[in-house]
Amino acid sequence: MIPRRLILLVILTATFLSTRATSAAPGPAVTLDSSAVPLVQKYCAGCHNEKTRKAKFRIDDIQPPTAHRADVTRWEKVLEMVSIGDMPPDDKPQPTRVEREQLIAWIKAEFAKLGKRLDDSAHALPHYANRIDHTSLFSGEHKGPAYTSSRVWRVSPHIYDQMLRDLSLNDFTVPLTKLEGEAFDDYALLYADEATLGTLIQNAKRTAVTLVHGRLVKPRGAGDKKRDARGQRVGARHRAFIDFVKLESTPTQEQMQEAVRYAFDLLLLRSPTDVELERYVAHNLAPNVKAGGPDAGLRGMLTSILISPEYLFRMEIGLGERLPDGRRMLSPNELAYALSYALHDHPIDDLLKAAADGRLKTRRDVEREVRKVLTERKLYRGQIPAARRKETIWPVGKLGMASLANPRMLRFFREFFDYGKAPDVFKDDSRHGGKHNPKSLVLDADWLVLSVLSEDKQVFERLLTTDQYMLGRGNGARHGKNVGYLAVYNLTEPNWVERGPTPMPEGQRAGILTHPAWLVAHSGNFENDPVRRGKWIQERLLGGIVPEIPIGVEAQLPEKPKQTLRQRFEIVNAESCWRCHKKMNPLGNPFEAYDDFGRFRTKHHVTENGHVVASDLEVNRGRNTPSAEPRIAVDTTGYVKGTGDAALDGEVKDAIDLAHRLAKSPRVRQMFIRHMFRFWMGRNETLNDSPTLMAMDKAYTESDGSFSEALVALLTSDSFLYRK
Amino acid sequence: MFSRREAMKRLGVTGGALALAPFAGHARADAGKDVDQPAPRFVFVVRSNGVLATEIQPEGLDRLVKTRANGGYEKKLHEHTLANRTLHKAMAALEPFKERVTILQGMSGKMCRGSHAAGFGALGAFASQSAIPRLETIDGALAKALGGVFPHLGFTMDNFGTLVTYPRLSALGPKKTLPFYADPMMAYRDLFGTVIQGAARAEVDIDRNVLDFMIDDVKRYQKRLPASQKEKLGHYLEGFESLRLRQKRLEAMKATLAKIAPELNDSYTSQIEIERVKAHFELAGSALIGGLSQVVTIRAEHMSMRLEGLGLGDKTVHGIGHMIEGQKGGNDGGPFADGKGEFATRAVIMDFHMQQIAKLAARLDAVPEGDGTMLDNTVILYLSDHGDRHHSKFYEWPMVAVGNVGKQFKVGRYIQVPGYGSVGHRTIASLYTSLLHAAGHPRDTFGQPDMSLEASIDQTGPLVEWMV
Repeated sequence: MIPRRLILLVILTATFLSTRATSAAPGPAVTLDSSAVPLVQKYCAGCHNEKTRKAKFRIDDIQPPTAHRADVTRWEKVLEMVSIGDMPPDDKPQPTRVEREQLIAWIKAEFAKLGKRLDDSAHALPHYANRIDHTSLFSGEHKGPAYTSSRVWRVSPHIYDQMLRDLSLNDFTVPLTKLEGEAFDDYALLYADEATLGTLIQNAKRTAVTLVHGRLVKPRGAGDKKRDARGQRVGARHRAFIDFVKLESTPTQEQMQEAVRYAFDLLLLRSPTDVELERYVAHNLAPNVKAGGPDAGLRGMLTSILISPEYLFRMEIGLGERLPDGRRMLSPNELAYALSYALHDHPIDDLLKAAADGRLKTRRDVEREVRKVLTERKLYRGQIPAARRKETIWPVGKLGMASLANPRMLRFFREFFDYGKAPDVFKDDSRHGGKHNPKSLVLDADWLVLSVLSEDKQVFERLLTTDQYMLGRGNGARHGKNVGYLAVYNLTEPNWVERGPTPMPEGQRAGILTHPAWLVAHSGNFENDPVRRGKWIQERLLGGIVPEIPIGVEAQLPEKPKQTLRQRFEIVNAESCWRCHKKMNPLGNPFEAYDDFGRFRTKHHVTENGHVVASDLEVNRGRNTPSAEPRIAVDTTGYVKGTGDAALDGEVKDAIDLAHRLAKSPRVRQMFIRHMFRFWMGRNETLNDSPTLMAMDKAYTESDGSFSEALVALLTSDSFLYRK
Repeated sequence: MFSRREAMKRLGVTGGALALAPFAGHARADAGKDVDQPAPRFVFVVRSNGVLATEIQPEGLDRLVKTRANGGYEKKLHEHTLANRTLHKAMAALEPFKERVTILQGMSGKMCRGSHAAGFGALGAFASQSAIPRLETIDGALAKALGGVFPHLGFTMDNFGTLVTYPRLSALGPKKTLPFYADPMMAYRDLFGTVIQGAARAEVDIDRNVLDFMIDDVKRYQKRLPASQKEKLGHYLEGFESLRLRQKRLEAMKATLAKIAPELNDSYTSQIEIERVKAHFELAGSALIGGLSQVVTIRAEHMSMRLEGLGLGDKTVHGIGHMIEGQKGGNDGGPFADGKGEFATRAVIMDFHMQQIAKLAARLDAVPEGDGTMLDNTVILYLSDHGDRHHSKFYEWPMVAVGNVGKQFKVGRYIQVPGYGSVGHRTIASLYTSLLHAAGHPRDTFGQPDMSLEASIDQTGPLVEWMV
């Protein structure tokens, strides 16, 4: 669910972006005054007429909405169907791209005349970005100029978590929301509101107590490279605060100024301006001290900084050099933060220093500094999901660990593939003999990503196809005792390679999509979920659009225990369902080769009374000797359709076949690039960003699939560097 | 046996409480609801180490408590009046309220997970082992439904000096853990800060200062932003303004709050854990009476703490859980030095809890509301965060309820639903669903179903056995 306030915000942003996109990019000529009714008559009225009324919808008598207001509802439907490309159906004559765009523009213009604001609340959400025509984005016809609107970006839950952790606060809760139900957790459209503020204040107050009365930590030496800028400062004794609290007389103006300066330097990593200094003393510290003495007064002041907008929002206004076309580059200081948070959850001192020394002014500077951070791979403290402290992956060990120096890279993959939510899918463990360990599966998948990243060759392709997994990092030594864990991979202890790639049994796995973590994350409580899996592939890899569940559809599978899931799903073949389900089920069905725990199978198990179940454990529950059981062969066929890529479309044999096909497709690779863009920019791509996306794609392919190269291309692009 | 009047005297409730009548039902007037319908209130008192089925069993009904190993649970529904029975001696404090008490036995909560505590599951009826809640808990759901100045108030026993914590107990929704006051003074400042005089006033004034400063600060920051981004800061600004508004509301209620604010005493700053728990109960009572909140959760025990104040400081609460009379109880499982074994020890703790509940009930009962008293529009639910014992398997989850929220629940009854797996068996999820019904926000289900129960056992709908 999107909070209502967010929707409003999104509308504003979306309108803002869309006007930008059309005004800056000279698209095909759109004649707004000519009626689009003939177009609709030509392409739609063949089925949607008085006689046939296909889908109980007729359009042959439709009039322009300005002429006949009652037709607005019908035009909304037309707009939606034409926008997402669902109509006309594939087997009917198709309008040209120009005609489609004309129709869309005309309907919007008509609505505008009526003063009707379209409900485009979802436009700025990641999944909506797929509506931008893929071919256009990579056609080269859009030359930009690319930029991002000036913005503030609320710190992510991860950054916030890290900030408080760095200030030695333990046992706190992070109230900042994530973007639920979307590809990525953190997006620049998020904000902090009243609901979160209560907790932010509690955290700030407690942090203030820690800063003033907390344990004193021995200052780290200058040679200690593990500490970041903020960490080095807070590790030290806050003599300034201690002295202030101990003051017996009312603190002087100078003493108060000194305390404010120290606090700014400690918490905001900068000095206060004269105005700020004056305000913080006159309106904050001084009255606070007067009300409650130096101790309570100082804590009040620290609390204020810890809930100040600057502490909670990243500033990306564009305060650097101005171009003739009005775009402004991020200032060196803005760049230092933007780049830091692209790679880490806290400011990187090397980048702050580069900014301070005047070495972060130009695109070339940015490239040099980014490459340095990527290759040096300093081990900053960092964690993958702030939400799960126990699973924190600390940079220890050998393989792939250095990659964790840049935790945001791994996080991208976790969120993109979305296998991280495997532990959230509740399973009745007894069906798996008590061996289901979703947290370890997630760590296994993480490790696989890290190992592929450490070689940085054909990263995406390998993640979709590799048949060698990394196993056991999650519970390390426990494997010796917990051999059962390997069963999910169809492996036994002797086949397991402790610290390296473990070959999977032949013909059973291909990359992340067949990894148990992904399969579990995209499954139901009791069974597979071909719809969710298919939707994931359709939206994230093929760039398709799946409408929300239409009103009136009761999305329930019939309870027919004697049928396989696939048989039960046959109800969606009904025309009204199939229009959407054809985009998902054929892509999700090949994964029937695995049960809902991610175990490979070729047959379904069947109980004595004919019930189809996932495992032999369920068949033999409570028996001393397993019974012989009838079985049903698993049907793993499916197909890809409508991608516009001839090599990709067609029947698929099984999940492995599908994964390999996907990995070969340029379109799929470009979708991956588009998701990188969304993750790192915190916003949807527009046609203006076309040069950025193409540069990323080029950097990736020319470097034999280096993820870092694609990332460097993004971080040095106009989209990243310029604001307007 | 005591009469109610005597009980009140004994518990130190003064006649002055009657003067509160004018602002009883403040919450409902606030919410603009039907004046004839007093605001429902819900109090959860949560203890550790389970509530044994035997330790709340009224006299003469012992035979109904059976163990799973020993022939299995009772298969039938049992309902008895409490009128002619004496409550278990550890519950003696509730004798004066016996006609308002319900003993609830037989429910299970096997959808929960966890050792020592079911985490958010205890009040949420779902599997929860992480620090992050996956779903809402019942107190969170009620808080959302009922609103108020403080939609939810949480108090928890914790180490001295801890101000606020986030025990894994209550959640407003997925990933939205609710905070609990550990420090009674901090809670007092937040709730009754407007009436504080003297030195303690300072922190309240500073809080207000900070809010005013921040409102100004955010506005200044906002000015520097492009129009499209002002909105984003607008939400943040609204947050501060609304907190400031809450303070103003509290200031407007100052006269009321001055009358019902608990009198500050040593309990509020005591280093003795149970003293602070006493303060928590007082704060809860005042907040309910003053209409500051309709949903309160009190976590009255803490696994890793020692109950020095009850003379049980030789063991941690965890250690006490390991005492199993007549058996080797594992770590620290032996009796106390004075020979006090499991039951005697638990009785001391239970007695303390029951006394606090009785005191709270008496305070609420002293305030007339509608055609009865505030207690008549309240339910206080006593339960453990871990089912029926220290290492519970959640086959049973005994509870005690006081009050009937406007005659919606049966009172003065002993209700035992059919045991685990039997026809008609009920889970704690049903009980929580009942609370939502009583709050006027009915739902069919709450939390997560127990997937290992046969499909023939209905896990939907409220606990009709309890409802009138």
